[in-house]
Amino acid sequence: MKIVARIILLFVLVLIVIPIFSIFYYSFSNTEIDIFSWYREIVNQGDFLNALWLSVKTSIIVGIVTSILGFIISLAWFNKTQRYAVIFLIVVLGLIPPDIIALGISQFSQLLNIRGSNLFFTVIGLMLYSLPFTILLLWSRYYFIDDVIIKSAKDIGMKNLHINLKIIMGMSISTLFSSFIFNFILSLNEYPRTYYLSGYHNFLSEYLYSKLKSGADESIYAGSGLTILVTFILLLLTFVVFKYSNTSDKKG
Amino acid sequence: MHSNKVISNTLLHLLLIICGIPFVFLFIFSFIEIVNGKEIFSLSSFKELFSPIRLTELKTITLRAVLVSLCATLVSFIISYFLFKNASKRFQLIFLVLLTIPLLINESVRVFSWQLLLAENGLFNSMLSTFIGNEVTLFNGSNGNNVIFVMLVSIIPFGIFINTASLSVTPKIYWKVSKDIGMKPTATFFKIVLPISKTSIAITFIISFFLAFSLSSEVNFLGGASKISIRNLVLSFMSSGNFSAIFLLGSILTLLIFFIGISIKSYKKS
Repeated sequence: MKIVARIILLFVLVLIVIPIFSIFYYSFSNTEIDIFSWYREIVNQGDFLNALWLSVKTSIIVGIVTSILGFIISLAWFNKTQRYAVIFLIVVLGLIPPDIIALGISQFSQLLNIRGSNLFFTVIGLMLYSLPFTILLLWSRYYFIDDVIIKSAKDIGMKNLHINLKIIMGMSISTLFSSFIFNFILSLNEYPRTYYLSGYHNFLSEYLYSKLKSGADESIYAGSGLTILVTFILLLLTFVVFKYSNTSDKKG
Repeated sequence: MHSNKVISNTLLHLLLIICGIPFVFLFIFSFIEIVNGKEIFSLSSFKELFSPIRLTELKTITLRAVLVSLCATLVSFIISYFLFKNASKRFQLIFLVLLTIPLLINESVRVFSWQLLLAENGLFNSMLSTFIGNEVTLFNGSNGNNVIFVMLVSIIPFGIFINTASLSVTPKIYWKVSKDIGMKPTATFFKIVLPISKTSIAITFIISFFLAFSLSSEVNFLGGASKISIRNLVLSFMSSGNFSAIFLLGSILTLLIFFIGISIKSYKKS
């Protein structure tokens, strides 16, 4: 029974994970003479590099802002009533169709009539998208913080600000860094919000979507391959940092 | 249970309100129509959203979401059970980590990868044809199988995360007692595992439903002739200038989530 179950699990894993790498394989299979020709072509395309650079810059900003905001909101974990309010926010932000939320933000930006505000509202949209993940990631860390530590800190007269900065942040700094990388990956790859909010700016996800949908330029396989590679490396880094933070906590 | 408040209610509520602004505006914009550059109160969004054509589109999206979420809930629960009972902690961790990869990859790249594999002359049909011995075209753009299949593959990981987490925090005494009284695996599954997991199964279904309801790229890339998705519905409303109908739909979904949340909380209390 155990062997059958393990075979099923491996099959599921292969089915879910492997297809992603098929496009990676296709990106090298254009010609037997020069397997990197599509990579050379895409790197020489100004549009691709501009879209990538804009997405990287925006994702770094989103990563920093969301990590800070997510940390403050995630502190609700330590109080049951506050936690329920945050859970509701997480559920709503995560489950309402992104197209509708993004259009709501877009309409709001038009109402304010701020000129050249596309990038600002794109950051807001991406921030609201990655916020639930940041909070959940931090909560998975707080789960291991013993209640006695907070109680003791309060008993010796520490103020909330000091508890938050010196104890909670101190104990979850690696997770906070993981959440920054996680936010960066999410923002870099997000399509619907950038589509509705970025205006005339062309983000990486928009660029990939339009090129893949039209299917006219085959060098986009290489563009896709590059984004998969970047995401995979960053994801690996996130889990290494996350694992390190948990291990060091257990040792402590 | 943690009960130490380390953040003031004022600050937390202020931040939650700021994050909730888009939803407040969804509600307000549902009743506003712009006529000659002026915003006026109007209920035309109801008329537009509940027109026969839109209702048919919404019905298609909803039924597809129900079908996908039912299948995803069932499959993800069985996989989670297998994972929990038959795999080591190390394998569980690796399995769950690997499952996050497709979720973080660019949406269009992920769906396009599937498009390559599920094409009429793609890898999946070729493998099936070899296995059966006849030429099979089970996966193709015109019968919707592709869309359902890729939606399932996209949503099942979420279900696995929820159910595995739920099974992991189940008190070990349940498993010990079932073993001590000599229950067989099938009986343990139906008499112990299913009853104690009903909340996580319900939550998986609800989350899967809303996720399936939102998925659009799958339909746009793989849907063939039929391309009814929430994004296409939104774009269609936009092109006809009926923004308020989109926001009304968003408000209805928000209220629905709020109602489900309160129901689950009341059920857990009782």
